[in-house]
Amino acid sequence: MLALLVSFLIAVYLLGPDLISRWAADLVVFRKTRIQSHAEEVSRAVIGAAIPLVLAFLWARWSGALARVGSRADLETVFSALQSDNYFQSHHEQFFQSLHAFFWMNFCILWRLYLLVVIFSLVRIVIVLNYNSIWRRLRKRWMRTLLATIVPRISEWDLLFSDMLLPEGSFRIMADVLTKSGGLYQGAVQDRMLNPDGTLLSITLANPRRFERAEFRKAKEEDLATETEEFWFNIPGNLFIVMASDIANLNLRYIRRKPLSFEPSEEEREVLTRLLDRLKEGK
Amino acid sequence: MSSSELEYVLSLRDANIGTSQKRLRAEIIDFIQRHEDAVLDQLRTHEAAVIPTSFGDITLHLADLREAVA
Repeated sequence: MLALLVSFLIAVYLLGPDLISRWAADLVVFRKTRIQSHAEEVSRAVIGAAIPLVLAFLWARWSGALARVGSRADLETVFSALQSDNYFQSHHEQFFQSLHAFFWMNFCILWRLYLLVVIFSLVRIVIVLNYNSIWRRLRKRWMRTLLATIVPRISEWDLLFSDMLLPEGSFRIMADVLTKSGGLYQGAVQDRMLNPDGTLLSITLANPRRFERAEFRKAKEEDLATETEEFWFNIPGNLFIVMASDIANLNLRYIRRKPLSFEPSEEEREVLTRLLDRLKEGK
Repeated sequence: MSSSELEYVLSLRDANIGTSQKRLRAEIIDFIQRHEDAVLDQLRTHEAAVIPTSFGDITLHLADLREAVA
């Protein structure tokens, strides 16, 4: 019976908060799942829950809520009675009174613990969602590295393909994909699929184009001035999926959806103003 | 990924954004200068112009152009 109670307490005090923080982390990033031993998982949960647990306990004690509902004697009675049948028989009535106090003492700590875990998780979500603007405000490298510890165990591919950690503004991720069979493809990254361990499974390209390398080489041999642009061919459809197992290498480029609207130079402004003036004049 | 690796990848990506942006804008402006009449025709007809770049076709909307010079 005592073992059952201890298992239950471990679950609600350690594994529950760990589960909530993992669930919250999954809302904002694709975490790598690692196969861990039971001991590793419990150690992680203990370390993760230690700070909120200490805070929740101090909070309950400082507010006097813990002392109001029970005392140390109640805890001793409950644990002694669960451990020894003789003690239980001789303190039958006292046990049930202490069990009531034991329940409320745990309740006092637990609701505070879960509230703190939810608050910590929400703060973490807000920080991850605004990661780049916070990152830019930090000038020192050690501060940026410290900030990175907030981000859950993110998959490297999620970091490269997601716009979550990109600077403010709307971005498009462009990819040049060279396959193992020698095909060269280009397009905007529409989606990526990851394996549970965080490795890349496939990427989906929007507005895909294929480069005819053989024809380009042939044309280049005949005329050195041949431009590459003529050898890109649009692929019909908007969902072009490349399996990661076929990819030899990948060139990623991050561009703004409105490339000219971000702080144009004087020269760029002049060219665009002239264009708009001509448009207005109808020339 | 450790925090120092994450920080390193973010720094690299930040540099990538700057370089790509500069190159893309240079290609767009160069195309507009070289094919101003064709771009004007497209803007008159569709209120948007498709600019071929090494990043793929980029569609410039008239409203975006006005926003850029505002």
